[in-house]
Formats: sequence, C-alpha cells, structure tokens
Amino acid sequence: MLKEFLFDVCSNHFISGFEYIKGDTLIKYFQPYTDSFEKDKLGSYIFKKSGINDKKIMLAAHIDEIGLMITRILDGGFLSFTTVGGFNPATLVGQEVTIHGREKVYGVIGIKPPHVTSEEERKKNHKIKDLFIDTGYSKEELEKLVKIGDIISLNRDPLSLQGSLISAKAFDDRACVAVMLETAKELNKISHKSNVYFTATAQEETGTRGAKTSSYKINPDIGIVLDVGFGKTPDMPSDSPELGKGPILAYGGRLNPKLTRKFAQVCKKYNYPIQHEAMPAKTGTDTEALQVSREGIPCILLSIPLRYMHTSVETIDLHDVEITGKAIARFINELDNSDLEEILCF
Amino acid sequence: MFLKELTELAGVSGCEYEVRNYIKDILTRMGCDYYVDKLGNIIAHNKGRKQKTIMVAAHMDEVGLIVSGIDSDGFIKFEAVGGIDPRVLNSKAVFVGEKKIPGIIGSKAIHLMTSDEKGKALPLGKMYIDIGTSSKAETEKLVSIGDYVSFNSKYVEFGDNLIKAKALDDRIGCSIILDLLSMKLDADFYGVFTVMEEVGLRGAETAAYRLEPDLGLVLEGTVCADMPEVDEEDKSTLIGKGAALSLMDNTTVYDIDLVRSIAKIAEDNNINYQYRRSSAGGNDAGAIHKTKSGAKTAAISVPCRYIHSPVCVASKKDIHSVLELTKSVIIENQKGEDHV
Repeated sequence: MLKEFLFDVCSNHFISGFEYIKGDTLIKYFQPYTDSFEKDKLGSYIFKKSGINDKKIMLAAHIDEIGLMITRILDGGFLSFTTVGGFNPATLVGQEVTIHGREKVYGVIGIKPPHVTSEEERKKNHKIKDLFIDTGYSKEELEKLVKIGDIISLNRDPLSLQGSLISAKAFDDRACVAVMLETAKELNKISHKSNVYFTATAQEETGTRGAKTSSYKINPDIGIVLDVGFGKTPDMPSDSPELGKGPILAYGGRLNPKLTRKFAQVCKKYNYPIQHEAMPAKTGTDTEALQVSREGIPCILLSIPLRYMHTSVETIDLHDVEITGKAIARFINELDNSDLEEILCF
Repeated sequence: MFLKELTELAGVSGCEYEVRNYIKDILTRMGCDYYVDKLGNIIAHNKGRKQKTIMVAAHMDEVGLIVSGIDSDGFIKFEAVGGIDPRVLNSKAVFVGEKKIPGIIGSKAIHLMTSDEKGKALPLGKMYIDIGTSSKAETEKLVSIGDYVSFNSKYVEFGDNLIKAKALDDRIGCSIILDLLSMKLDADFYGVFTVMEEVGLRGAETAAYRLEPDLGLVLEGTVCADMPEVDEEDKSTLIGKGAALSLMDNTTVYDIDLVRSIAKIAEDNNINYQYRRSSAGGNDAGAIHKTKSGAKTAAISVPCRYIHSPVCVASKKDIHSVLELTKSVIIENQKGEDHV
C-alpha cells in the first residue's frame, strides 16, 4: 500500500509552485482516511481528520519537488533551462525529461561523447548553462509545443532494490507524505481526540512558503514536521544516520525541547527505533516557517534517512516510512491523554 | 527494425550472450545459414549472385561497467568497459550481472558538497552501485567480481523521427544487417555480428581472417556532436542528414576510391549521405582492412548523439539511409556473371 502510493505519487510531478497539476493522486489516497479536504491559496493540500476536542495537530510534509524551467528555445530543437530548487548539474547529465508544454514533450539532456572531449573538459562538471535539452524537433515545430516558462520534470521509473529499499525521484519529500498516510491509517485503528491536519505543503524547495500559509490557515497547537535527512553512504562520516534504523529526531533551537523529548519517550515505550541529530540552527525544512507562524507553533522535526538527496535516484527504506507513521500515531494518542498545556509550558 | 528488442538487451563487451542468442533466434526463424566462431562472432551467409566476398559487419557489444569490488557495507565498486565519460553515470539506474539485479549509481547530496567538489567531475573510483543491501555478505550472495553491468534505459521514439536508447552503438548496425538478411537479396554477402569491438576490435579480426573478404562494409553508430555551442570541427556528423561515410579515423585510413564509389552509388540512388568530418574514434574497419594481405573496407554509419551514454539518440531517417545505401552497394558489387 505505502509502496504503491509512493510509486504512483513519484511517477507524477509536483514541481515547486506547480503543485496544483496532479492533486487528484493525493486526494485518491488520503480521502478514505480523512474527513475533509481543503487547499490554501498557494497550493498546499490539507486533509483533516476530525477529533472530539478543540486541539489541532498539524503534520507537514512537502509535496513539491525540484524541477527545471525553460529559458530559451534554440535552433535545432534544443532548450536552455534554469532550475526550480537546488540541483547539482552533474546529476542532470544523461537524464530523460518531460517538458510540460501545450502537450507533454519528451527530451534528453546529453553531452558531447568522449571521442571529442578533452581530458581537461572531462575533469570539470557542467554548469546549468552548459546543458541543453534535446527534443528532436526543429525550432519551428518546437515553438508550437512549448513556451519559455514551461516546467520540466525528470523521468525516472521508481525501482525496487533489495529488501525494503526503493529508489525514485522526489522521495524528498514524498517519503514523508507517505508517512502521513500511514499515520492517518493507523489513527483509524487507535483512538485520537485532537483534530489532525495532514498537510502536503507547497513550495518547500523554493523557500518553505506553503508551510507558512497553510499553518496560518490551520492555526495548530503543535506542528510535526516531516522531511528527509542524509542517510549514510560510503562518502559520508561513519556515524551518519542509516537507512532502516528509524526516523531521525532533531534537537535544536527550531524545535520544542519538551515535545521532542516526549516523542523520544513514546518511541521507547512502544519499541520504535529512532536516530538522533543535533540541528542547532537552520533545519532546511518546513520547520523554518512553521515555528514562527502567527504567534509561534511548538514543533518537532522527524527526518526519514535518504541516500542521494536531490538526485533522480533518491533511495529510502520503506520500513522507516512505516514505523515513523505508526510512531506518530502513538505520539498523537499519548498527547491526547496528557496535559498538552503542561508539556508546552516553559 | 529489430532495434527496440536489440537495444534493451544487455551485451557489454565480453558478455554478448543475450544479444547473440536473440540474433541466432531471428536467423533461425529467417532460415538463414550461420555459425558462431570461437570468439562468439555470428557469421551469417546470404547466398546469391557473387563477384566477390563481401563482409558486412556490425558489433553486438556495447560499453558498460564491470564489478571490481564490494565494500564492507555492500556497495559495489566498478570499472568502465569501453570508452565512458564517468560524468554520464551520475544518478543512473543499472542492471548488475546475468540475474539483472537492479541498482543505482547515486551521488552525494548537493547540500553536503564543498564548492571544490561541485566544480570537479566525480572520478570513476569514487562512484559505487547501490543495490539496496547493507552488508558485504548480503551483496556477495547476488553479485561477484567480474559481473557485467549494463545501463537501464528503455527504447523511446520522440521528436521528428528520432529514437533514444542505450547501445545504439552498435545495435543499429546489427538491426540493419538483420533487415538486409531478411530481404533475401540475390547478391551474396556475409552478415557478421562481431564481439568486443569496444575493447579493441577483437571479434572483427578473427571473423575477417576466416572470411578473407574482398570488400568489407562496417555498419556503425558514430559520433554526432551537433549540439549548441559545440565547435564546428567537433560536430563530426549531423543528425537526419543521411548515412555518414568515414574518410579517416584512429584505426583506418579508408580507401578513397571505395568511399567515392559508395558516395556515387548514394547519389545515383537518391540516398542521403554525408562525410564523417572527424578523425576521432575507430571501428571494426580497423581490424578488417588489415586482414591477411588486406581488404578494402568502408564504414557506413548512422549519426548518434550522446554515443557511449545511456541516452544515445539517432534518426530513423538516417537508419533508413544506411540500410538503402548498404543494400545498393552490395547489389552493385555483385552485378555481372556468376563465378562462385
């Protein structure tokens, strides 16, 4: 179910600022477990699961992904482009893309073959301005199909690797949208008193903007921010968080310390593994906006360990998604049976 | 056209089994005589009117990777098989070994890269394949040193008559030879599907030794760098402008009379052609023309953008031009009285 959702939602595109295009996919999966749906004016998707008290808990995971945008249409049917969000240009070489113009146009980003590339050139990475999308049309034909400003998404069929590892584009941050889906499902089984808002936020990659407007609209008592974290690979320090060992709980100034400790206690009580990470200041997540929304929202931040962030082969362990979703449901249930004011009181 | 099937098979140099088995199967169904030599080349014979021995060659192998090690966390180290710019490997899906274990080649998140790392190309030695295992023992159950790795890239038709696939160099040539054999022309030629071109023209050497051709025709996918901001002299060929005739490359100085005669046949038959305006690269002609006391050999190629990457691009129009031109050259050379 989670894998099906992730493969489906990652085969679609929600480029930052253009999240409205494929909303049906989200609604299809969330509606069975939630009571109402609305959007904020920037395009965040808000699914509410109603409770029996007046408390509001907001879960936030961004639905948007990094993408490209046409800047020039060139002779020979080539396109120049800029990036929407942070790309390493080296990860774009040899990729297949879809241009969302008047109709979908297929393209590839190729480079000169080694036969006519000097040793010197091969040592350097390309810059975005050195790369072109080949559409295979003449300029005249292409101009009928696409315009400057049209968005471009990367093509990548999601893959199942060994065990419970899967790879696709945009697991940053749809892995966490899947976490919310698991929490919603789990809350159907165990009771909850608070109103829970599952928010697939817009425009995180371009500046955590959807989180700002959606949290204003919801006005929650607490926020649970979900994003992806750097999972260990051979080129990282040996003590980096690893895939398959549970969510990474963040500690630092952006996060409410008592709420964070409460989450750790709940995980211990129910035997959910967690990893820990110090984040003294910037988190690079929706927490940046959520924490200072209105008069302030106490937040916790959980990250799903992910390898190769911001590439088309982002890799996660489905097991981490599942246990994080379940742990959050338990956390909500425990909060409902505690004195929230006391926890939040400094 | 057998190109979709041919390009989606794995056939990294030295491991051409899948491609060979597919071609053998097609030849059997066509009722075409063939045999496989000691290196694994397929030599098929189209019997017909004959003036001379003509060898039409295309290589079955493609560039790829080979497993060179497995680290303690189960990640796979590799080396390149054939000429690959490591920059095309970043963020790609691959298949490892005969069981085709899916894997990916990722790279460090941009957030963690120093500005120095951002500018420098990642060398092959710093890349690894992730198949989703978490220990050396787990990976070793599925993968061994020496396993071949091929790109995971599907055949796609797009734009104005273009196709994208891996291994267009040289499944394009293999597909054209199969088309020629299926025509049952009354003109004698050997259709040769060679091995290990990308690692030193190994198969063509032994196949040519056996056939001792009077005329060699090499059908290739060749360099085409006609993209924006590439120097004019590096473009080599233009996509959609017809069959590319080689004049000189790293392995052959082509017999100019033969090249001109092929150009004339193209003109006489209204077939689009162009000269390959680069001396970079090489192909099986390099082995064939030096066979025994020598054999006149020409290379007729389809321009391929982004050659030696997972996303090669070629034009169906050019493929058609190479097919028509090769057919005409064979017929023209076997005209006259039979003296088999």
